[in-house]
Amino acid sequence: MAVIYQQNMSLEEKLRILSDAAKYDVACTSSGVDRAGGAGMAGNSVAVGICHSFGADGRCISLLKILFTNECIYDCKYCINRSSNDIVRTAFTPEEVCTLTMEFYRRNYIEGLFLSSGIMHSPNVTMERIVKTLRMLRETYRFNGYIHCKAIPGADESLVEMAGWYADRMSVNLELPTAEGLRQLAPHKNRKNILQPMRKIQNGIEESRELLGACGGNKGSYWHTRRKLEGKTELQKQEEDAALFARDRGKIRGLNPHILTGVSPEGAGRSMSGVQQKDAVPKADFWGTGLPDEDLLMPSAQGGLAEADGYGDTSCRIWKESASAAEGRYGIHAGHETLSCRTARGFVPAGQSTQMIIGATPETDFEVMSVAEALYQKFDLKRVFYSAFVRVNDDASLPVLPGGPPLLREHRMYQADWLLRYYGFAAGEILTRERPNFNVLLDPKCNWAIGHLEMFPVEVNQADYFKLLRVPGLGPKSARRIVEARKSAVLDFRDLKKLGVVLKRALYFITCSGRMLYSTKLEEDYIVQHLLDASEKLPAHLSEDHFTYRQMSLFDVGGMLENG
Amino acid sequence: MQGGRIMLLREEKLNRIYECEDTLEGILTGIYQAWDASYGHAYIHLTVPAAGESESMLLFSEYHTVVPDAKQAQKVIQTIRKKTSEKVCEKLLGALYSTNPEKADAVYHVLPEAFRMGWRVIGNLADPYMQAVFEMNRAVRNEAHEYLGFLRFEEQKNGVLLARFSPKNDLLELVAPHFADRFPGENFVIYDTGRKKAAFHQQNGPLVIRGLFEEELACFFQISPKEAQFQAMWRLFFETVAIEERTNKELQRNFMPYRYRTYMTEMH
Repeated sequence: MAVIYQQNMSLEEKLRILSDAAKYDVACTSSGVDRAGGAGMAGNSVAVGICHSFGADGRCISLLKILFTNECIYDCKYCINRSSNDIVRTAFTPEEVCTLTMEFYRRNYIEGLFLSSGIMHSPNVTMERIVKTLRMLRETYRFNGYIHCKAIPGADESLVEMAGWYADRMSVNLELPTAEGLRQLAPHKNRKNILQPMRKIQNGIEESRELLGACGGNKGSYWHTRRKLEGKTELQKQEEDAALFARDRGKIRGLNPHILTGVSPEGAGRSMSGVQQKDAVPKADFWGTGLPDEDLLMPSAQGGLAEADGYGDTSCRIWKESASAAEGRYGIHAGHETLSCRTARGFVPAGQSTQMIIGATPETDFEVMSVAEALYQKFDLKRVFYSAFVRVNDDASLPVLPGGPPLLREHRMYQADWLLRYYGFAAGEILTRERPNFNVLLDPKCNWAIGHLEMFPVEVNQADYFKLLRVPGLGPKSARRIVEARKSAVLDFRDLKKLGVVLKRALYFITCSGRMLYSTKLEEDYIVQHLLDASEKLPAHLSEDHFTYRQMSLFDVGGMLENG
Repeated sequence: MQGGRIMLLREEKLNRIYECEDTLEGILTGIYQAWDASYGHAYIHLTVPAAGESESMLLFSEYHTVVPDAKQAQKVIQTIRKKTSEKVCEKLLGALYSTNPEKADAVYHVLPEAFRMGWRVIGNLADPYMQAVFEMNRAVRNEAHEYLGFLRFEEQKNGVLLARFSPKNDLLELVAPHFADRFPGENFVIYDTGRKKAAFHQQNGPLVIRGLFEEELACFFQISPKEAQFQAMWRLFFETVAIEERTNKELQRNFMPYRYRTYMTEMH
């Protein structure tokens, strides 16, 4: 194996190689955290995220997405950077990453940095370079914009923690949906090593929220469905949220903080001794100095965490112990001053995400969505990203996909993902073991509705919010408007139109005061025909594909082949 | 018969047209004065004649030219805020940055209903004035959000960062504060090439928005020595980061229509 390693390459050349090697990572979002700018710093952040450009593939470009190095000791079969590939290897220096980020940022090319990396020498060495770079960017260059970085599986917890105080979002790639897939294609990685840092970051986020407040981060993305599962009203859930944040705790009277244990499945085991024994609300000037140091630095009385789920994690404590350990071992200096600077931003305030490759291994859609659901429920992820497999290596163990990357499948997964997070659907409702794959012709929600006609029609003037959400064509916005508007009047179809509700698909599934819009039949074949005729509005890249929905539906509906 | 009656009304009472300067202050002053006159809303129209444009005069109308007055404008904002809600106020003001010449009139005529209904007016989409105002606000906010990402700065020889753009709506006041917050340590100028005005930000200083004189333009368009290098690297990044197997120009165009691309570094 010839490794051509070039350190003294021009910055342009490094950028070309290390952005090319990073492009298969899906997430480029800069969302999840609101943070104002400040004197002496460069940057701010907007929770909705800002797209700065769109590449020739139509994907949003928001962050400077690069690898620190494309050198890698692992030989994952699907990866362009696998150790057995004969490609030019290089690495940035932390200064180079900082320069590029700052210069791109001030020209408004980007919202911030997305730093990933191949594994150079060891997970620890790699993670240490990442931390060093982020620290330099935050503290020497005073960068206050958005940072997304990877946690490297197998790296020391203390290093992962440190990265978390500098980053807005972190992600650990699940790589493949199942442990079996991982064994086949990424023999050097294992599931446990991937889930461990994920758990660590989750715990860190929760502790940080309780100690420091939301720090501009918004609520978890599984919030809506969780609310449904817990059977709580929006107000109850918001009160809980507020109580979660130390800063707001004083504002809510009569709320028992222990109610919070219900919020996360692992919450009960978490160490909160530092907070609960003392007054929960920090007295010091919050943004200026951070928390009183004693609180932050105090080692937990309880020690390690109960092993709630078999991933054997401990509570996340950047606190003195691990910080100084990292300092000693990796030469990262975590002085007193820098600590307060870090905590003011919070720990991973924009939450964590992950991604998996779709179509490289034989998992069913049901398996994939079940994994995603578990990640939302048990790890409180902000987003799960799905990446249609692109065959960059000619390896016998990789499937050949003549139609190119499975983009439609990927699209259906994002649709289903939305249903999981915002619509209160369970993975087991969208797909089942018996029908484990998505319908190519119908979006997952229509498909569900067709299979559950006994639940319809839904009466618009009575059905609760989550029932309305199950009607094809009604989204959170429409459902919310309906619930609001019907307080003051009995709604008919004309009112729905005024509210901006699109009836094209919904009309087959709803009644207003017992009446349907037209005399439509509540029959599977009938509705499917009409839904296909109304043709789903697919994103351009899918409708332009070799595969034309319109044509398919004509074959199905009119039997045109026989007649023509 | 009915037509005759309307004619009669018009003869009895003239329409009154308030011509406002096309600024927030100008229009809000117009609203204040029109309201204050208690002339009857149905007979009142607000316009924002473009500079130098001599509008064709309408029959049966009297014309008032509104001189902007900061105090009166402030009072209107306070009243809207008090009688409706912050959210409604934001939407009404947002509409006033629109390029639509009907904006002043629409916002004026929304007010009676808004004051009656309070914050609930937000759901009152049946009112065509309200619908128009919301639509204008939406277009303005959307375009402003796009430019937060699509605006490009070029470093000049004197270190000043210059961005040019030519938005449909009058966005400087909405876009510039974001960059002042983002780049407190930078000297920057955002220049609206169509409206010939600019936002100026001095290092750690306030933001000033005013017309741009021709002679001021002379110090621009001389980029710094480093600038070309970073532009080249950005173009390089832009090209490499796209996945060839997923090429899709139509999707790219949907998200980033051509009109935004005029001054975007990576598109040239």
